[in-house]
Amino acid sequence: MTLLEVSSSQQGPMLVVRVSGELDVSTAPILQRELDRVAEQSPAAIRLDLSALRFMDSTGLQLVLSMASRAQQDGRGLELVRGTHSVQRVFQVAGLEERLTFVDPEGGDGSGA
Amino acid sequence: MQLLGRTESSVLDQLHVAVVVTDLDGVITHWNPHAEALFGWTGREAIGRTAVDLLIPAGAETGAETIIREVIADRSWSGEYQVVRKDGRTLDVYVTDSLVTDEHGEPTAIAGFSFDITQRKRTERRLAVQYGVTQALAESKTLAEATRRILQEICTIAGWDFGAVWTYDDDRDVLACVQTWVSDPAAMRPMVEETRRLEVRPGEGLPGAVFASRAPRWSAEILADPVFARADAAGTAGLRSAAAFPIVLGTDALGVLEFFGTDLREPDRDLSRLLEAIAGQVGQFVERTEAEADVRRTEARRRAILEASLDAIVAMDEGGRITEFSRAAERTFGYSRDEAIGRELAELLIPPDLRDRHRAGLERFRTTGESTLLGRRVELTALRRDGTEFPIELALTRVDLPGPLLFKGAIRDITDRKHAEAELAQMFAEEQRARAQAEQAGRRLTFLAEAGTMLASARDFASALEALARLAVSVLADLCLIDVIDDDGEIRRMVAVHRDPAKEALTLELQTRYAPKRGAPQPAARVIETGKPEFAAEMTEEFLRATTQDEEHFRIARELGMQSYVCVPLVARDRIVGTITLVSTDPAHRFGPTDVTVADDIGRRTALALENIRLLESEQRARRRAERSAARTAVLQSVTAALSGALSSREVTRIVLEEAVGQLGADTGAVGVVRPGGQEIETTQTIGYPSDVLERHHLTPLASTYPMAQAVRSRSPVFVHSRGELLERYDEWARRARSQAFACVPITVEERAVGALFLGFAHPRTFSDEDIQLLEALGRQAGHALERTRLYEAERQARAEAERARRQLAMLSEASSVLAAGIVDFERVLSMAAELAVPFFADWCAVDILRDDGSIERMAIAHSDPAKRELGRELQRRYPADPDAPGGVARVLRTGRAELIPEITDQMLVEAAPDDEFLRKVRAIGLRSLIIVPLVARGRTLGAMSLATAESRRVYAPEDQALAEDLARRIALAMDNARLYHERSSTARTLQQTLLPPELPAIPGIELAALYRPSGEGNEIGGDFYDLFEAGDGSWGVVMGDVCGKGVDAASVTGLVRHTVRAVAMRERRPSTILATLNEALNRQSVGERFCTVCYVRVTTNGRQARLTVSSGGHPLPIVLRAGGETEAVGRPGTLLGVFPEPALTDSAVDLAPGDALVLYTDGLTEERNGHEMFGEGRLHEALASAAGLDAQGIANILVEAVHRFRPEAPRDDLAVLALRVTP
Repeated sequence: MTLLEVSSSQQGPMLVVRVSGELDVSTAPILQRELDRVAEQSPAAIRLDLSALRFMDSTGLQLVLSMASRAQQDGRGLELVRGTHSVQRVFQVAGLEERLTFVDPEGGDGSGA
Repeated sequence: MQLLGRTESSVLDQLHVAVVVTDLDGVITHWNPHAEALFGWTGREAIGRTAVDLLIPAGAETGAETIIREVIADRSWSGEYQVVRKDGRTLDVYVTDSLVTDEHGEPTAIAGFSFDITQRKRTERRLAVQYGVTQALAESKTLAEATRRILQEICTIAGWDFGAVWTYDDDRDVLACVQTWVSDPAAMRPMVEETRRLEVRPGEGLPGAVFASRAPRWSAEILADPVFARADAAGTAGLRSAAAFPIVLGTDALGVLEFFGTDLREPDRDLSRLLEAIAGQVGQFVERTEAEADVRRTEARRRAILEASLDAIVAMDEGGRITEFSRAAERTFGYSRDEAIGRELAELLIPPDLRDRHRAGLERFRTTGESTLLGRRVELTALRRDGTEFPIELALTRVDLPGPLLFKGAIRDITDRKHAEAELAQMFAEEQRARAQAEQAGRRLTFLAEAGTMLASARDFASALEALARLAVSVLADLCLIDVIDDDGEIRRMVAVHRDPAKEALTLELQTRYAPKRGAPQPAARVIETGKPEFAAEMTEEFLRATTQDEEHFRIARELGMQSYVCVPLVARDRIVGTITLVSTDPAHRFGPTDVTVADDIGRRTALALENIRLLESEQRARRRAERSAARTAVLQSVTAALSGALSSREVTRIVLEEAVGQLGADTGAVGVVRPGGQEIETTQTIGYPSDVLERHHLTPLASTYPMAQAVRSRSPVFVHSRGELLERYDEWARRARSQAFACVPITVEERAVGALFLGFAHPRTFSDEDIQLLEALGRQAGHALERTRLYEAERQARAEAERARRQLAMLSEASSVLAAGIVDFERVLSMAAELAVPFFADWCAVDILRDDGSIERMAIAHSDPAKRELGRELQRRYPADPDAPGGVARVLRTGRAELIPEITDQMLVEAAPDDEFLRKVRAIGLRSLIIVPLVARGRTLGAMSLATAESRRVYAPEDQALAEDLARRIALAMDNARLYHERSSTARTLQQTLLPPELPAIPGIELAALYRPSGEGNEIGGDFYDLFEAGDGSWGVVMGDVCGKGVDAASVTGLVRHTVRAVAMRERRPSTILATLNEALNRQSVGERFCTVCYVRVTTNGRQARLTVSSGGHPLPIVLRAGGETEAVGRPGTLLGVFPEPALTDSAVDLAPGDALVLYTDGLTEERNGHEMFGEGRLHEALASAAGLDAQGIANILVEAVHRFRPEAPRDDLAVLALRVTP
């Protein structure tokens, strides 16, 4: 079983990348590949759904940050679906909760994660 | 068993000969339609049976089996043999057997090509009979000798068992047998005796009936023939059938030839005609021998008369009175001596009208002594006693005796002599005539004999006719014209020959200008229509006018002096094939019925000979065709075998082209194949063209007028036979073409034309049916073979593709496992990486790394051949890479982008080569295709991998680049790991020491403790760091930070952060300002996406209490541990540093009482995990609470121990903890 699972789907103009499991130094390349792939499709906006993530460390943070900077360069929208407390804590600590666009998970969608 | 391919079978079926294929045991496996027609058995009946059972007459089986053995031993056999048709008829056939072999040369079958030569054999036998008979007649002196030989010849050759010659005795009006011949004397004796004994009158029995009717008679069953009289004898001898022929001369019958056989024989028309002709020849012979006998008889009679005469003697005196009268005189004149003596001679013996002349003569002698009679022998007329006058011969002499003058006359009665003389004169004339006839007959026989010999030996139609005509004008006629009906039914005057060379010009006119046309007035045209011989003993002026075409024609006929002619048809097998006209210009030589007979005979023989030559020629053609067919079949067979081994379309076209050029003797040849898309034909194979032509005609638009395009479009062959036709049919291309003739056939697969085969010839030529068939068969074979190779190539390509995909996966998985297994030795990783790609993915593979100083170092080079690898290394040593080079590895290292060069041109090599020697060596390597991929790990270009093909001639495609990049990523990761390991093991400690203060400075009244726990094996530089220093204004700066990432890169950022913070802290007091300045510095340094989190704490102390000002740039907030065990985080989260231009940073102050402590840490501590559970802030606070009362070191230890308890293994991430406590 993989520690991190990533899936993508198109929802309107938004390309939703949903991650679940653990995002750390060992699994970051999986998400990185997917994000690279997604970026090639040049979607108008990307939503990174972290709500099903059990764990994220600073590697994940770095990934999100680089994704954010690329989105900014490409003029692409990026929004993050808020993760669990521990995940959000990482953003909080890094002072990024205000810097990045977070949205709440849609009703109950990620609650089962 | 399938011994032949479909193409071969269909080719065999198209041949114009019977084809029978058997396996090696003689069992028939193939039977074409011609075989069906020839042998009468259908393929269904024949296939499966042995050829010997089916076709070979009983008794000849051993011979047939010998032939099969010979074919197997010698590969082929040709010859004539007899076979039996289904209907029982015996056929003579000519057979070429050849051995069929499979592609390994093993015999598999025997193909026999047969055609019917029965007709030819029969004609040959007939000619042999004719020849034999003619020879016999020419060489025999007597009829007996001639007929004996003739009977023997005919019976032997025609297979009769009994033969007889009957001749007619006109005195007695009976026919008698003069000669017999028998095959078996014992069995035939009664028949011979009976025949010899018999004399028949005309009309009686078989010979009499034939003699009387002058017509031949066949009796298929003699016992049932009422005419036949010798039934008993014949029955005893076992004779069943008979045929008899009249011996005729002109219209007279001279005798009969009679033949008997022991079998039942249906009338044979041809044989009948032949024997009729022979009987006619015998008539000629009889005529000759009779004429000779006549000559001998006349001479004998004359001699008898002369010998029988006697003289009478009469004497007279001076007065004319008889004085003596001999006994012979008494007989001559009818007077007795007594009656005569004393009588005047004149009165008694001289007719009254002559007496006066006598008396006057006597008187003149008496007076003058002169006499016209005396001493001479004169013929006079005398008078007998009975008053009749008769001729006498008188010899008068004077008797010189004393006494009166006396004369004595010797008188001969020459009545008989006169009669005899008259008779003799008549007989002489008759003799002359007979002699002339004998000569004529002899000449005819000579002519027949010579013509027979000549015609029998003639092999060429035109020269045979010419020779025949020359013979005719030397023997029978002055002018000979031969006309033949050609295949179109038109009359062609083949020959016109005159005895006199001076008349040649006029004669030629008759051949060229006045050759008879159908319906023309000439006799020849008429005879061709009627088939009846014509002759004219005299060609009157009126006749000449009527039979000439115009005035000029008439003049020529007159000038030639035409007197008489014979014109007979040439009839072969009931068909009129032409005429022979003989013309005499000698008034003394006029043609009669006998000449017609002779000419007719000649006509029949000539026709037969012509027919024979025609058969021979067509047989030769058939034989050549059969042999060519066999050869062509062998060619197709060998081509099929060669093609079955051909694996590529190139090989297919080469084989087909070479075969076609060789078989047709072409000077040039080319094969074109329709390109995918179907718009153009690509010339893929050529023979004999210079390179400029090849360049010009490499691609031919399908819509063009070139022959190949024509052949492909029309799916049918194109032939041009001469230069003229070429220029007429083609424009600009034709003028440049060097060929005079060409053939171009489409290469087809199931009605599709996939290309064309072109053959050029330097000389004009025609293409036979066989040529065309061969070319078309080659075209079809090529099509099938091309289709097969195309499928084969596609399959092979698909297989190769699958194999490549499999090997790619294998290579990548091998790469991963190899690279993951031993990340120990950097150089070994690189050479393993290089080896991975060779030889499957590349002929050459090199790995270069980018040194920190910007230089490029080739770390590994791989080639499957060690010698070549050494060459590569040598080149590398002698020509180190130039990092500033505009292209190649240097550029890839600069840009970080992979490069693909599908085809390396020489120009590229020239541009890249530093000197000539390098260029020479690189050219020798023969580089073809190149991929250079950067080795990028964690965003850094570590080096580049170069993959190149040379001897494999492989050309890289974009998908190969993708694979190379995948491989490169794995290698780069492994490199990175190896490098990190390397760095860690050699420099981690040193670096760490520079990054972490060697020992913490002492702050009065404050305890300090710091712990750094690296992750894993502890030999990698972590991103965590801490620092503590005196800020200059009596305050202290405490720094805890975490640079994202690890290793040397991270370390450099760590170094930057430490130094910046220290420097800035010297002039700035507010921690948030210090961090903001640091943020600026980091952004300015453009460390990319590498950010860091830093917590800065300014510490001021009075020795008992401490005041702390805390600012966090994205770092976990420090925690205050009160002496009572309460814990709380200090400060507000701020933005991490190195990313945003304006981080949100705040300052928070907190005072520490004695015993209170502050703990700074990195996320490696809180994010440590055990399974899915994280150590977390909760556990941190709990652990800190439990540390209340402990000193700084104790607090730090408790935390680390707690983490260790939580996760006994080595930490996943490095972690740092710094604790300070106000001394209680």
